[in-house]
Amino acid sequence: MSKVRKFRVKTKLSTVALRGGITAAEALNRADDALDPYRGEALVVIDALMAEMAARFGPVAAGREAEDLEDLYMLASRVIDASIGLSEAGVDRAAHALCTLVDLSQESGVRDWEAIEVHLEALRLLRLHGHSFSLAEQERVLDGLKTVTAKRVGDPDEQKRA
Amino acid sequence: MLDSQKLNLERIQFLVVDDNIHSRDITSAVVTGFGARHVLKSESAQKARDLICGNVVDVLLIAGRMPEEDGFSFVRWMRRKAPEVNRFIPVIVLSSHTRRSQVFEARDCGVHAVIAKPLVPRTLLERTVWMAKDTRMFIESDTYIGPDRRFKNLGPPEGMPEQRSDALTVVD
Repeated sequence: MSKVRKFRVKTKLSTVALRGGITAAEALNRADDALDPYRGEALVVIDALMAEMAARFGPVAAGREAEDLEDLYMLASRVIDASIGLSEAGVDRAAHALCTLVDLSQESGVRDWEAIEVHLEALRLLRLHGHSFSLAEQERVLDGLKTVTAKRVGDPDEQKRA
Repeated sequence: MLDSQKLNLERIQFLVVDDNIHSRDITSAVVTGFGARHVLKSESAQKARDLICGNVVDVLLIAGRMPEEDGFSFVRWMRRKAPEVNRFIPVIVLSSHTRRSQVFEARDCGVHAVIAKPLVPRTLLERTVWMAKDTRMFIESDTYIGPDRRFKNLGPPEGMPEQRSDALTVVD
């Protein structure tokens, strides 16, 4: 029978972080200011990632059958990483839907190019126009992606967002 | 409530591990904005091992997915093998997407929290304050080392009676 040990840990965070300092509101303002230089950069990063995805996995990519889907997963997850300030446009959620599609595709061994193209197109749409969409319009796009994934490779509802 | 909470991270040493330089810099900028003055950065789990073995680290922020070794695996190593001073530090995994096959790994590797990217400063700050106030016991067994995973006792849903109470009898 295995032994289980329970014990308390006193961390430095718990002993010093809540004594004095600045308010959370001030900390958030400062963090927001610190992110300013990265917001413009994020758009450049995302556009470069989307261009690479289109070139390697889009409808015009002649050699896409030879590409590793893991690279598409990595590129889509990089879009999520960089989507600071683009959450309101739904870009991160569309990239998350693409990650889910690729993950389920790898599990099932199904490589469905039409489903991938729909996701890439939705990503492009939300990147360019997502800010002008209402929340309901964004949801319709994202729900559509979920339906495509469910019909073509598996049930994305079983894969909860982390 | 959170906005008026005071926070002092000046003496806290963070370690930010992320293979994506853009993401790593963003996370570091956010914690620096929170007032942290000591932020170590690493682009891989392997290099983070060296930092963990050679420094006192107070909080680890690590990406879930990384190419050579993921954050979950690193935390599992750290809880068992890192120097004593760093073995039980608060850990947050920053995850862009968790694969279905990794859901249990995320739960069982011994982290305090998993935060979805893109990083939202308020979420990270809330989690940092929450970890500072965390009173959970640590559990060490053959298969798990980390904070007790059973920490929420929310009781029955609002308006619902405690179902087991009907089946209980108080015996004198």
